[in-house]
Amino acid sequence: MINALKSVLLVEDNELDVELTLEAFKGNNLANSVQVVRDGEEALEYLYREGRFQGRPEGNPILVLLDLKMPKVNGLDVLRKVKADPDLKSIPIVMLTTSKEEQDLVESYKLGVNAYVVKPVHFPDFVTAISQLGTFWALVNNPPPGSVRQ
Amino acid sequence: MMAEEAEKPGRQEASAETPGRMPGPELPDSQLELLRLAVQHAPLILSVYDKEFRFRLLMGGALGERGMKENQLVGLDAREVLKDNPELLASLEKAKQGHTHRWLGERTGVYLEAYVSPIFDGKGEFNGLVSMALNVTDRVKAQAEVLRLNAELEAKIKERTGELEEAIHELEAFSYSVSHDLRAPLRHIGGFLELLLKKSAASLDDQGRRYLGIISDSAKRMDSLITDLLSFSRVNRQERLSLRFSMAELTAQVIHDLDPDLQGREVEWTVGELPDAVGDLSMIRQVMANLLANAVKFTLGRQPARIEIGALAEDEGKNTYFVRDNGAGFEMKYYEKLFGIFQRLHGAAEFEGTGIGLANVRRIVHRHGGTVWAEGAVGRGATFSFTLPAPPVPKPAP
Repeated sequence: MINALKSVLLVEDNELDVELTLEAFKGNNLANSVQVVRDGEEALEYLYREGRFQGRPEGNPILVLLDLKMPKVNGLDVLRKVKADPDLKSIPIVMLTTSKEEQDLVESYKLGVNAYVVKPVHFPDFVTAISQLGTFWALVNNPPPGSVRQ
Repeated sequence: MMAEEAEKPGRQEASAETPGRMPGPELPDSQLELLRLAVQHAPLILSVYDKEFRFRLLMGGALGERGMKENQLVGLDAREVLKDNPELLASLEKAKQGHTHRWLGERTGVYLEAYVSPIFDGKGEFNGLVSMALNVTDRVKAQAEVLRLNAELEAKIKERTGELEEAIHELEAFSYSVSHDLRAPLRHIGGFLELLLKKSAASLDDQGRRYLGIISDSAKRMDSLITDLLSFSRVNRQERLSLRFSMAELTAQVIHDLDPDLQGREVEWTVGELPDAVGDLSMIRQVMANLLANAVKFTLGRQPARIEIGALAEDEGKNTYFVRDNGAGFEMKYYEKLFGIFQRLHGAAEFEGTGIGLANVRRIVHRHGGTVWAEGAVGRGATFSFTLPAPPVPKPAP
């Protein structure tokens, strides 16, 4: 499973948020295309095909859903690194965060984030937000060349 | 006080510009006697030196406190007598160049200030020096005390500012953490409740479903409390603009925005003349929105509800605005609690709310240098008033 090719990379350290997000993706049949990693370090390993992702097939995800607050390497660090890398910077990145703290919002856009979404507390809104994101980025949007669409 | 005497600037400047000359015409004896008496009683030491720096005269009321007698040094060479006071000697040398020189020094715990001026003879030739010394110990000590107190005060201000900055920083970190860390568990409670309802609703009985409803409502309420708490802390952190704006326009907008809350309600609005104010438009909109929303909320059940917005005449650069309603009112004895954070004077069953609105109103008005107050009686409505800076009166065209 680890080495299977997935089109959406979900970077989220909270087990419960992962479960809720995958539940929301079921609505547009994207749940099976999601690769979950638990922190920024793993996310970078996945994108650079290093560590336990050394053997994964080539190609970039068509969307990265990135949690802001994570242990070790946080969302902003991942964003900074990816947007500074010519091979990765075209991957659409959506920041998922718990609250709209202005400093994070400003910093994210400065670093070149493609969208910034505050996870709604009300679950039906959360489902709507996640499935709309999935629909737009994974189904409507044309990803940059070199991306993997299942 | 002798120190003050010496401070008079005219004296020093005058002698610096026009060095003292030997008096031309002889003084009558009576005046010479007066001069001697005056010098003997003045709280100073007057010394006259010849052009070789030998003492020619030593007089003054302050000689005694220095343990000296009148003219006791006459004939002695000042260079010899003052050799342990090179600074004063240097002043004598400098004064010889043609200008009054000031020397301030300490001898055995006493601070002395001396003005040394050259004397010229009738032909304009240097002919000696005159020096006047004053005891300025009190003044010097007072100045030192002032400097010490100032330094102490400055250090204290620096310390307090540092503490304050740290406290603000901690508060920001706190609200950041509140907004993130308290929200996530709430989202999980709501999310999994929803999933439980979706997948297992059939196996729950009515009581079970009621419990789930209570959990869900409580989670929503906690979310609104967190949102309000954050808005309250943001009021302080936000930068405040200061621009002239139309209170009449702002009020009309706020009333319009309240439309959805008025469905099926009969509300009579009375809006008086509202002068422009100066402040942060978005913050003041929050104030007006809070007060009008409260008026709408607490007039529920009134037929009709009457809400009046008006202003009093400008006073000392401040405009006073008020919002009056014929709603539930409040007990004046709980007035202190009215503007407190999360304080409520009505039960949740009676009127909904988190108790943040008026706390925000007070903070915002205070940040604008205004005041806010209220009057009310149970069942007879309430009036909330606040002041804001009035725009400066434009100068009439010339």
